[in-house]
Amino acid sequence: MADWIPVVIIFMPLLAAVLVFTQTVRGVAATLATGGFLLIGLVALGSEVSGQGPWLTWQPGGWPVPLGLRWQADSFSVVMLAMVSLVAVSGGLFATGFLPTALPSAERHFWTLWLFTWAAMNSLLLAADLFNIYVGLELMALAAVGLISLSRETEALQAAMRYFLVTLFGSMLYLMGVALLYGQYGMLDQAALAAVIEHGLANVVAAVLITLGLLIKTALFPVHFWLPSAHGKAPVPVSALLSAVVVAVCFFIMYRLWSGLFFVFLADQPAMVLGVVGLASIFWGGLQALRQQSLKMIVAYSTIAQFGYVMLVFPVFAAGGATVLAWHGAVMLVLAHGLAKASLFFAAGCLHIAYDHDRIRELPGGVGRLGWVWLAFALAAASIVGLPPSGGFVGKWRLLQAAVLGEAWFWAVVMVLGALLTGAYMYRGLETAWRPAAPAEAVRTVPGIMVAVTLFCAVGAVAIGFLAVPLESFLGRTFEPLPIAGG
Amino acid sequence: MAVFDLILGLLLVVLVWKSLSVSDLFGAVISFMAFGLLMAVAWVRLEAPDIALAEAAIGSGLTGALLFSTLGRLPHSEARQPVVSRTVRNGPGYWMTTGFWWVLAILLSIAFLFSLLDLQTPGLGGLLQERLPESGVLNPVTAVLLNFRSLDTVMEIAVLLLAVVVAWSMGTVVWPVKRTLPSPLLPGFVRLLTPFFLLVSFSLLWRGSHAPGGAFPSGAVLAAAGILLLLAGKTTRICPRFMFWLRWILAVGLLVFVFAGVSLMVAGYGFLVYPEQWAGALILLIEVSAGVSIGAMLMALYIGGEPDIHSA
Repeated sequence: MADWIPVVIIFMPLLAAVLVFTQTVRGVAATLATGGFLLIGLVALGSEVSGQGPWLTWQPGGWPVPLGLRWQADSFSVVMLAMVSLVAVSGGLFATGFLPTALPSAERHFWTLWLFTWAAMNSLLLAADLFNIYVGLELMALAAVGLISLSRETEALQAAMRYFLVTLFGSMLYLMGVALLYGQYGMLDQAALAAVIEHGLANVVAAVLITLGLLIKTALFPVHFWLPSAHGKAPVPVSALLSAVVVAVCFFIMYRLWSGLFFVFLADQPAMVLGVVGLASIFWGGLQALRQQSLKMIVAYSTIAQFGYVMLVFPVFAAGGATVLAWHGAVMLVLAHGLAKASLFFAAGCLHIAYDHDRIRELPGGVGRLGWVWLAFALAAASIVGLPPSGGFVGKWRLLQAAVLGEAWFWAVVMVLGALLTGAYMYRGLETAWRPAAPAEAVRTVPGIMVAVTLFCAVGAVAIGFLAVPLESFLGRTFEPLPIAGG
Repeated sequence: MAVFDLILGLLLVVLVWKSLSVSDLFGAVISFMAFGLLMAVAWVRLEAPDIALAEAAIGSGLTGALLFSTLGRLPHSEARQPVVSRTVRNGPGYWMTTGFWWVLAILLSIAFLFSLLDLQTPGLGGLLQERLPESGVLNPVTAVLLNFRSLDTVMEIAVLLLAVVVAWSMGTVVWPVKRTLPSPLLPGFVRLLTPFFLLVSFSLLWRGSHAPGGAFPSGAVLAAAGILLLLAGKTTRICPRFMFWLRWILAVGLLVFVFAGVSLMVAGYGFLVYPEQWAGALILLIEVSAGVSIGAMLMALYIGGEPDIHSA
């Protein structure tokens, strides 16, 4: 197995961050170079996974589990890494237009924090060790706090502080759960633990604590309250990164744990509880999004609702029937949501630059460059709602199919209603695009690069729908949980 | 000893309660620092001298200094503000949500306490002792931090560096300028103490290979020496060249660690896989650079924002 692949994937962005910090390299150049190296790494990783898969593992440090720790990757990790890189590079390009216009003071530290976040996400996507995941979560949370507070406005600082306290609390719960597992088995590797875990009070408490910690970080219903202000007040490229991928990475870890380590517990109540959390998030997030007055806040609330939708994968899993379909559906949903959400935030940012506000009632329709922005918004919104042939459609359709095949009728109804609600609040934003254009009102011209990136991400979200067949064959025809291995 | 432990445990709880409930923030910080010191004693009682050292140096000493430097920047106020305003507290929704969370928290805590009874395995202690001779150091904690789980440590150093970046991104601070102190006693005394601080710092670093110590406590002592010098009125002129070197010193711990890992990989051993005959030397190199960086980082965190070149 090629040893260099995970090293490049994790340490290239980290090294770039340090070099930008020491002012050896310029931020844009470092981001683009990192993107290039990661492309090479990801192509290599993808071919290794499809050749020798489904699971690859590495031992940094060379010590076998349980003494040492491991990295692991399967096809889901590869597609997640690819999406993270895509959004990180797009966000970087968007920032080259956005920062000089909107936040010139933030340019000094933006790139370092951006690259640190990227490195943290990559390490989380490859980590197999529960404590290593904790360190990665800390790195990601701290970088995100720095990014949110970049504008230094009071509201942004308050949102950043709240996010900081909440996410630290989540990390603490997670760590307590990990401590319980370590105290019983003296191991931290997911696969090694999955081989020995059994029913028992301590394990149940550990599962509850870890899941609660990750639910807080994924911002699902009862513990979602930090997200709208944090994602709404952050600078636009940051909102896009946080909503599209940072939250997705937290979900990814939760998915990993419940489809591997805690899979034995999933069967009845836990799946129902996770499903109910998803259901509540869908409706709460959706109803709140309906009430918002600014475009950016609608997009922020829709993140809660859409991750609620992804959570429905757990009850569908438990219903049996078609686990592969449910798995594919969840993966496609997360990918399509990432690109579409990034595009929606970018679009809101473009409009904000053009008119100096993004209140829906007062926005005019667009012509010229802003017409393209609205087109991107419409495409991305279509994917979020799940209109064919977009990526969002494929994801929701697969999940619905799996629910029907598993005869989980209740959850199928929830999915359909959730999609209708999504359509309702996305339409509120889209309706503006129909309005008569008033070109004279634009305060500033939007830099071309911003429009191009917005459109690129939107097209990407739709294109995933067309790529569904090759993507699903890459993901594999069988659902393979973690390899049960000691080292 | 059981009586001592009981008193220690009770004192810890009382100090936590005090630092959370006392109305003036200064008193809360004092209680918190006392809590850190007693916690260090508790770690000694639990036979974890490494953690005790870290807790005393970082948990109590440096965190206390950070909290005091924060207090110094806050607008002067007599008492802390209530967390939730009165108007919010009256609604039925507030009581329902807080009630829900309280019940959940209490249930979880009870379940957590009961599940502590299930824990029997003493972790990886046995396996660790077995493989210790191959690690290149004699202190098991250093072996875990720098060899067996070195990846975690790389990332923790990255977290510290990131904390400095986040602090700097919040704004600049006026660099402490040279001022005249009311009495020559303090600068003279600090001048006498500084060599001892350096000695302790280096000895902690060196001891790390066979006894409790290592880069984190050593860096903390280094930072304490720097903070004392600042408090005693010592300062340097701040210029672009100074900032250039400061940035590199802050980054060097992480860079050396990553480069060591990558060059080992290129040499064919694998990422962060130390060949047995060099393991001790490599670990020392990494610890020295990490110690210097950690000292600089902790001091930078104490100063707060990015030193402003234009202020001097």
